[in-house]
Amino acid sequence: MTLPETQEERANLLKETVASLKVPNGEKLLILLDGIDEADEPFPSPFPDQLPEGVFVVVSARWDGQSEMPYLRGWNFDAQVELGLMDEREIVDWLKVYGNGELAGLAKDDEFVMKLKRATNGLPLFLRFVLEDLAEKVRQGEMFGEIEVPQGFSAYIREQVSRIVASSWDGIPLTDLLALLSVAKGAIRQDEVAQVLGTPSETLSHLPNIIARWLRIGKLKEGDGQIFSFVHPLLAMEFAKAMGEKAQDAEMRLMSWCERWREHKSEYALRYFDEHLKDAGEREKLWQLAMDDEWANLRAEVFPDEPELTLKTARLGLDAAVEVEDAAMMARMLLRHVKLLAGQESPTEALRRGKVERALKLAELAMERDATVGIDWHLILAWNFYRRGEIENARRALRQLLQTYRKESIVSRQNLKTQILLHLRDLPEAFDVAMLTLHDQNKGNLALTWAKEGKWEKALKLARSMEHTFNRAKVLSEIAAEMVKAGMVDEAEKLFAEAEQIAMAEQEGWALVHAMEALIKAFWELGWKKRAKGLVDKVIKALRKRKAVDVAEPLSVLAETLAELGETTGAEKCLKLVELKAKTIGNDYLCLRLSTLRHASTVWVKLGQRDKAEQNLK
Amino acid sequence: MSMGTMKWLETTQRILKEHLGSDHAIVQLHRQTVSFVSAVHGAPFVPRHSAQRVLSQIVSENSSATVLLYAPAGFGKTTLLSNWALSLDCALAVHFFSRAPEFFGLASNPSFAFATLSLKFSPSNKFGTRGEGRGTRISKAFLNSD
Repeated sequence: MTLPETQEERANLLKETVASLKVPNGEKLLILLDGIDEADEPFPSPFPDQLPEGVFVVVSARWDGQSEMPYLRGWNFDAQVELGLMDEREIVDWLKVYGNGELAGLAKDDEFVMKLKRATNGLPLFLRFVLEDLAEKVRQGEMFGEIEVPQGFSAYIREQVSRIVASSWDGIPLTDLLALLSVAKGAIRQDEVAQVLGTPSETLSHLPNIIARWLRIGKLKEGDGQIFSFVHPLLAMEFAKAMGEKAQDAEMRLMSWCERWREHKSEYALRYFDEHLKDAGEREKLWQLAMDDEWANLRAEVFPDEPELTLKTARLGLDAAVEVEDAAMMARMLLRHVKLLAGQESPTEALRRGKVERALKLAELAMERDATVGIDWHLILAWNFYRRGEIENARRALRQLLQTYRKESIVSRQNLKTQILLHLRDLPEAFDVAMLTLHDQNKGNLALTWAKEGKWEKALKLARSMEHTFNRAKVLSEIAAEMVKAGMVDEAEKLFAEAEQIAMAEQEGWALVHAMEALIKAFWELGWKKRAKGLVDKVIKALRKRKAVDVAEPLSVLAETLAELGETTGAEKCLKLVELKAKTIGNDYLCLRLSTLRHASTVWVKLGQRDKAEQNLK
Repeated sequence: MSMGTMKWLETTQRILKEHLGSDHAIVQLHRQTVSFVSAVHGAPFVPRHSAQRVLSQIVSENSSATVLLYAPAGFGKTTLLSNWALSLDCALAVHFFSRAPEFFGLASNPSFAFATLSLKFSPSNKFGTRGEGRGTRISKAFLNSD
């Protein structure tokens, strides 16, 4: 699985992946994409127009069924399903299952249900809070015949705000807290809220229900402090609206506090200050921030796993410059972006500083920019981890390589890759990495190393994945020879047969010779000289019928190999055929004829037959 | 409510963790998604009869389809979809676009969503097997994890 760089490429990958899915008969796969309107930016459908059988995609979005919405552009739906307001029957169902049954009795009261529907219009988010109010009254033994709810959700929230303002909780700045959260751009931690509000953090540890009921209060990880946000984005909007100036003041306060990021180094400020400046139209401050090296460095330090965040301020600055058509600033922001990109440390530099996550992330970014460099960095990181005995991290680096791999546009640094993978060959991921990144010759080297270690399955799989059949046949022969040495004669015979079949099917003379040469050599070195000689005859027979220009030179190469092995008879047979074929090569291929005869002469010399060599040279 | 689907989501989480490491953003995102779905799974749900009936009909009467569920904010789209999807007892790949704080900006990024979904179908994640160049076959194990 490759994980490409850009959003568009990732969308294409998803489209291709989904298009290739095969769901067994009778089974179904449901792909759910909830709230596409909440995405950072609109995107067209990342799914194929024609879904495979059994695959269903269900997407949800805010929409009134009519207006033109940017996030619905580029989607073709087979069906549109409207989720309406809750009807009386659904309200009854809710009353029945609500809480600990406090409201179950009311479910039987048709008139009450109708009133509830009228008051809330059946808006689930509104109903949720009204039911909460009613259940509380029931718990406190209060009688109620009428539902006292202002008409409309906005009015209801305004009323709630008034109640909160009127309530008094010693030391807890309730309205300030709500106003702050209504304008916050994302996660804000308890200690950060306390700093902005100028209140001790402990006062926020146990919030009263009057305020906690509107909030999602959670923890990212065990041991972390609390984080706050509104339960639903609509609530944040409604509260910001209802709180008016108070919310605006809170935003100013939050931004002023963010501006002191050098002092408190808060995660919220470091993550969102640039967004606040952009939204507030504070362009000058935004541009200043984008040029600030300390800001960039601190961000990199606080968010080591998110190097792309370092570049975000320059990107927002560029957007702001585009908005006001400030060409000079556009150029400045672009240059800043390039500078930040170029100035990022290398993965190994990050590793030397002990920043493992950052090193891995930088390698991933390198892959996005340049596949060749990215693959090298991942392998170098894996090797470094491995040498330091950090096996799990070495494996992570290889897994990340597999996930982010992109095909290189040019073949490069194969020897480096092979050398590193030879070191890492015991790691389970090394095999997949080799399959993806190595080319034939290097796959052959690694496959043979595995064969020598008795890792037959890996060796054979890698060898069989080689692109060129003649290379494949050669390496299979070599692996088979290793099998014979290991006493696995039966398995070796099958493999020799496979290699011979591949070799003899080669259309090109040189490919056939290249592949058969390995087989002959293997037999000879195993002491199976008779079989080796038989193969030589077979090759000569097969090549005799072929065109001279195709076979003369490869035969002379085979002759040389045989001469070096000491198989003089076979070498002589080959050379005789070479000479016969060479004589028939026309003047169009004069160079080939001459070089072949010259080479044949060299081999004759090796065989101690100078007269034959001289004859050829004449 | 299908425990099989919940179990499948947890299995996905484990496998993503094995492949990417526990601190990877995609693993964090999936962890938060499972936690979100678990919360929905545990809460009482009021069926939204009309929309649910139409959605279920589409899935039972067609061989495939792309469907939009729409409504203004606060109408309960997320709650409905989560509960309906969990009730189907089928293989489920899910992404919630959300700016909620626990997702820390990860769940609103489309690029992360595409990457996460692609990884969920990745043969290397053992969810499917590559069948002789004929595409990724979703295995039985993928569809019924329990």
